[in-house]
Amino acid sequence: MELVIILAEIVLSVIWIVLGLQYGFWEGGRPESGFIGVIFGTIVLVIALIMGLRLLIRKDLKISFQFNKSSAIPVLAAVLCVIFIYLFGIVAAVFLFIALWMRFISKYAWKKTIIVSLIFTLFVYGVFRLWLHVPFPTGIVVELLL
Amino acid sequence: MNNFELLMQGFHTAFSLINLTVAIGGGILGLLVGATPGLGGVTGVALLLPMTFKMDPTTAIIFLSAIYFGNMYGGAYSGILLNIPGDSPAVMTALDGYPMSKQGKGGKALFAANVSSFVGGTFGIITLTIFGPVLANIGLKFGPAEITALILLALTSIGWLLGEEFSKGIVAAALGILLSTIGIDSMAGGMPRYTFGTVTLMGGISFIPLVIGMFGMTQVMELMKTKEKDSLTTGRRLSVRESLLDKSDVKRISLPILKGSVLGNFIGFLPGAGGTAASFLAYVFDKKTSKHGKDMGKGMIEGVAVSESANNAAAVGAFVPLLCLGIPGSATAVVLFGGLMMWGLQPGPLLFVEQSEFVWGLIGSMYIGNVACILIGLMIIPFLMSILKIPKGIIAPMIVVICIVGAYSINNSMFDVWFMIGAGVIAFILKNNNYPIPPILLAFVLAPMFEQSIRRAFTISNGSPLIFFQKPISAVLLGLTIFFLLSPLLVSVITKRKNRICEEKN
Repeated sequence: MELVIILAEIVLSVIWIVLGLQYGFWEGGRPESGFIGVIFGTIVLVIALIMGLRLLIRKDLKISFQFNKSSAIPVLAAVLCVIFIYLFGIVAAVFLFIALWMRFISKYAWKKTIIVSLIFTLFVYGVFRLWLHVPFPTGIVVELLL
Repeated sequence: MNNFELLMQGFHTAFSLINLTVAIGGGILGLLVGATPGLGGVTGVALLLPMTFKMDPTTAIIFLSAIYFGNMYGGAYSGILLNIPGDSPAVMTALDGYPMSKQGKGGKALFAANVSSFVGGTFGIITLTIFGPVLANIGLKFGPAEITALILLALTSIGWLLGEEFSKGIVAAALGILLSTIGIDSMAGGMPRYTFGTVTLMGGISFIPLVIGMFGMTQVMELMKTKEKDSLTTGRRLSVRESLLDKSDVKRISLPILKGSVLGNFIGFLPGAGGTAASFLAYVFDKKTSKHGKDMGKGMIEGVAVSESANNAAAVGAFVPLLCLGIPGSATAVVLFGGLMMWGLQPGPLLFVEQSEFVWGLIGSMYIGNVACILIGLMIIPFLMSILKIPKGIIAPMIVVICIVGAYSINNSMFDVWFMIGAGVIAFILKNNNYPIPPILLAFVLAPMFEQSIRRAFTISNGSPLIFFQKPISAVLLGLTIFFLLSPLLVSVITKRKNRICEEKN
C-alpha cells in the first residue's frame, strides 16, 4: 500500500508541476500563478522518489495496510445516505439512515431505534433547517409526489 | 481621559440591560454554533449578522463580538468530544483533547479548554485596553516579507513536529499546500488553476468539508475498527467531580496558557494571521520548549491549554488591527468589518477619537462576553460529557449524519458531501500508513496567506530574494526556519560524534 501511495504522490506532483509551468512560474521579475504549485509539487516529487527508492532497495514491498471490513461500513453507509438524500431529501434520509444503522448494524430493538432516529432527525431539522436556515433538498421522490 | 476612565465609561455602556442581554445571548448562540461541526466563527457571525439589522451599532457589534467569543470556546467542544474540530483553530485542540476523551478525561479536557480560553481571552482584552493602538503599529511592521517568513517558519515546523516520520510530515504539509492552489487565482486577474475544466472547483476547496472528512469520517472508520461495543470512552465511568481541575492540573497548564496567550495575542494582531496560525504556532512552540513536548498529541492537558489560550488571545488580537487601523486581522474580522461599514462606522485610527463611546463600549462588553462564555461553558460541561456516554452503535451513525449535513450546509452543495467522503477515505489510508493528517489541514489554511505574501514580496522587490534578508524581522524568522530545518541533521551528527567518542574511550 505504501508503494501505491508513493506512486499516487508522484502522479499528483507531476500533474501540479506540468500544469503549474503552463500557468506560468516566473515572469517580469515576479512569481506567476504556477509558482507555489511547481515549488511544492517538486518537493513532493523529490521526497516521494527518495521514499520509493528506499522502499525498493529494502525490497519491503509487502502490503502493510491491514484492511478492516468494519472500516468500510461508514463509507458505504455515507454513500447510501447520500443516495437517500437524492431520493427522499435530507430529513427522510437522516431518519432512514439512523434507523437502518441502529437496527441492522448495531442490532438495537425496533422501539429504541425508532425513538432515537426520530429525536435525532428532529434535532438535525431544528438546528440546521429552522435555526440556521440551511435549505434542505427535498429529493426526487418527494418532488414527484408533490 | 485616560484608558482606564474610558474603559469605565465603556462598562457603563456595556452594562445597559439591552447590551448585557445581547452579550449573554450572543455568547450562548456562539457556543452552540461553534460546537456545531461544519459551522465555525466566520459562518456563525455571517449567519447571525441579519439579526443585528434592527439594533443600534454599539449593541450590534457587542452581539457579534459575543458570538465570535462563544465560537472560539465552542469550536473546541466537538474536537474534544468527537474529534471533529468545530473550526480550524480547534484542529490543534483536538490533537490532545480527543485522546484525553478516549482515556476517560474528556471532562478534564473541557474544563481545561474553558479555563484556557477564558485566560487567553482576558489577556487579549487587557492588552487591547492598555496597548491597543501601540500594538497595531507593531503589527503594521509585518509586511509581505515578514508574513512570508513567519508562515514559512510555521510550515517547516509542521511536518517534523507532528509526524513520526519527517519525510511523511513534509509530504503531508506539501499536499495541503497543493490542495489550496485549486481554484481561481485572485492575484492573476481571476485565472482558474488546477480546476481540470470543472466549474465546481473554480471556487476552490472548502476547508470545512475537508476537515470534517479528514477528522470526522476517519474517526468513525477508526471507531468501527475497534471491537468494543461501548461508548467512545470504552466504558469508563465519567463524573464531573473527577473532571474538575486539581492543583497539579492547574500547575501543569499555567505555563502553556501563558505561552499561548502571549504568542496568540501577538499573532492575532498581525494583519491576516488569525486564530489558526496562532494556535498552531503556540502549540509547536510549547512542544519544542517544554519537557512534556514529546508526549504532546497523545492526550496531554498542556496541548489543550496552549492551543485554546492562543486561539482566544488571537481572537481578541484580531480586533486591534480592525479597530485601530481598519485592517481586518482574520476572516471573522472581515465580516465584523463589513458590519461596521454597514452601520456607517469607519474603522481606523480616528474611530477611537470620533466614536469613543462605541469603541470603549465594545471593549467593555468583551470583558462581560468573556465572563458570560466561561460561565455558560462550565455549566454545560455535564451535558457535553453525557455525549461521551452514548454507545458506539448510536453515536457512530450520528457522527456520519453530522458530517454529511455539516459538509452540505457550507455551500448547500452535494459536491461538498462527496468531497468530504473522499477526503475521509484518503485520510484513513494515509493515517494507516503513518502520514500525519493535521499538517495537511494546517498547511491548507496557511497556504493562501503564504502565497499572497511571497508573491507580493517578490513584486515589491522586483524579484530579488534579498528582501527577506534585508528586513531584520524576516531575517531573524528565516534564520530560525533554517535552524529548525537543519536541527534534526545537527542532532544526528552530534549524537554520532558523542557515541564515537564514548566508544573510543571504552
